[in-house]
Amino acid sequence: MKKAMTLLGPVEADSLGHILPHEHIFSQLPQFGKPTYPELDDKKVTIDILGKLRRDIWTCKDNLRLDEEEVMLSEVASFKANGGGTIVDVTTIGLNRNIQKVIKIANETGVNIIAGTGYYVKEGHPKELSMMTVDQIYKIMVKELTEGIDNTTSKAGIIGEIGVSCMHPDEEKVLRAAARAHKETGAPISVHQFAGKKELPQIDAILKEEGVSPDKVILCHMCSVDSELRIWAADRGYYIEIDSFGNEYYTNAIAGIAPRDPDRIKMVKELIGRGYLNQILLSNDIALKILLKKYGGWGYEHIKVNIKPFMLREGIPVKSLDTMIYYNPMRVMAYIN
Amino acid sequence: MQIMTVTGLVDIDKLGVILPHEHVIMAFDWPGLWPDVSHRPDLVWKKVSIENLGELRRNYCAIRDNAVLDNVDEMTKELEIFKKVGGGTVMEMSTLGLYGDTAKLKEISQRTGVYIIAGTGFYLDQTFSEEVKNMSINNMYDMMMRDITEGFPGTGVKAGMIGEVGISNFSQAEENSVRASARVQRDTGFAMNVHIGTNPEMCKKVISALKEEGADLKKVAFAHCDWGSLQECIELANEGIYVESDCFGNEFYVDNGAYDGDAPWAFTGDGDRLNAIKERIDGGIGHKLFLSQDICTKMQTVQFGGYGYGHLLENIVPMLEYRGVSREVIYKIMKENTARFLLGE
Repeated sequence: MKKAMTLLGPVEADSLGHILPHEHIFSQLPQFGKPTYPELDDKKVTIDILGKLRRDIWTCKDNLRLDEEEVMLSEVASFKANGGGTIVDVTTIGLNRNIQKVIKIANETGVNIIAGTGYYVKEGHPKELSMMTVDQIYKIMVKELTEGIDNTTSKAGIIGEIGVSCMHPDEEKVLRAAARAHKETGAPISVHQFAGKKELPQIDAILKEEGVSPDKVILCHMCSVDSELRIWAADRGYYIEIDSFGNEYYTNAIAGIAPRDPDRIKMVKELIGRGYLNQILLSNDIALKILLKKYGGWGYEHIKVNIKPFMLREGIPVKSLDTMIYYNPMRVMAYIN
Repeated sequence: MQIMTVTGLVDIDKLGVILPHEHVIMAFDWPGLWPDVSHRPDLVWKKVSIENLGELRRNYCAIRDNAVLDNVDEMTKELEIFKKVGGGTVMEMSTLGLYGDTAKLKEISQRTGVYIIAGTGFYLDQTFSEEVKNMSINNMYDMMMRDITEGFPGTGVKAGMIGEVGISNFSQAEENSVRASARVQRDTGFAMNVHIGTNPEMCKKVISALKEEGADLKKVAFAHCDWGSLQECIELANEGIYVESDCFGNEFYVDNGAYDGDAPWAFTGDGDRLNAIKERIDGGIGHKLFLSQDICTKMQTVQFGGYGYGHLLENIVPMLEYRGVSREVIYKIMKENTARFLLGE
């Protein structure tokens, strides 16, 4: 049986349990855009500003940080207590990844944690990246996948989330390096895009050029694109990740009506109806304090505790649910012979 | 023309932006409700806090404290925020069964300068004591007339409208309450708000009772119509009834059924409500629409993680504008429709 690479070593595919393929544990998101409520920018997340934070998640730096060891330990433990098995932590270099702290949580909770290597979108790139060549970036990724991350012997088990915002030349370099690191190691690639009408075809073309098979690639945040594009990508054989469950907020106060969970469930039903069940992945993409149970959110167990029953009520059979939350992520994550 | 508020008569043109369906002081606290309605015996008696908001957003009845608005200082702060973003008046719907408190409303109104119009009447059957269930139409009529002419017992604060009048299954007590309310409406000319929704069968029953008792349907609003179809709304508007979308900002779920089963509103988001409002304006019934937030839990207030009474003005107005509804049309709904309802023109 194939194995996935977790921070504590290889784990057999069928021991991974319920897998969340796209999460963060310790991270710091870049502050995209101008905050709507600048007076909240340096405030701590508290109950009396939650309403405003739901109107503009970029408005408060504290909200963009997952940084409290005790809180994160209790959130991951709660996932475990609710039947969780594995978290894929796609926090890449430059997002304040802190691998020692993540290893500690893996040890203390017993949750399998698969860590990511690579770089997020342009806004989160470390300064030196623009000077680096594809080959240099590739070498860093391969080192993290085969030798260890930072100064540990814990290895990455996935390449990503690789950030593509506007296919900036540096983003293209990283994507090509990811493709080559995949070909060298077999590790799957997770590609971040958001509403990428232009970028998805570019991503497809570059990965094709690099000779990457789509069934080794997860396209993230596919709840942010329209139905046509989702089907287009599924038809090419990519994993389609509907990974923002529980993210119910507005990206700006005026225009931004983000999809809610019922909308995402409709997308999942459409994909199943079109025959793409074996390519669907479900996750919560927790990267904001307000998504944690401690701060008024639903936590890592949201898919298992709230979304699974919701989907059952919506007529998705248990067998299909099992495919999406166990077998699909197991297939893509376990690559070591 | 003057309207009765909790602080006395006020010229109609001073009311400004009016929220037609809110609660400021209230409690879901009828006998037998707690702790049974909560599926979380470990949480039910706790206070609302940021750690249990996630649970409340799945089940607002998990914690009793969430369903109680009773703190004058807290609610004063909430209405101050409403005032600051341009709010003027709140119609307060906490009728018998909802533990309203007009003395507190008066204090909050005096402290904030927000006008509060208090409703008289009877809420849902399940909230009634045996005594209320056994009241005749005449008894109910007399009680409401007392609230209007003499004031609520012990406070002297007078009602300025009728409602929300609770309709769940149109039990005998609810039918009596609707008929009594209709007679009060007929005799006083006061506006009347009915907790009902757009279910055509139930609407038909209530409309015929209202007509039989001689109520003026131009002074009647049907609450909780957020998820009704355009056709259902047009039919209500054709009767003269105001069609109220009053759950703006309520974007939570009812996973365990709570006390009202499937609760379609619990799965409706502001996006759906905005689409419906746009469709109804385009469908020609803009002059019969009401917008409100029906704040009835702590989690809807700013201090407990919600959007507060200012949500429509701060967030929904720009979102409607973005969808092509002019500011003028939106303010007509929030100021002129509500004023016309109070005046009955």
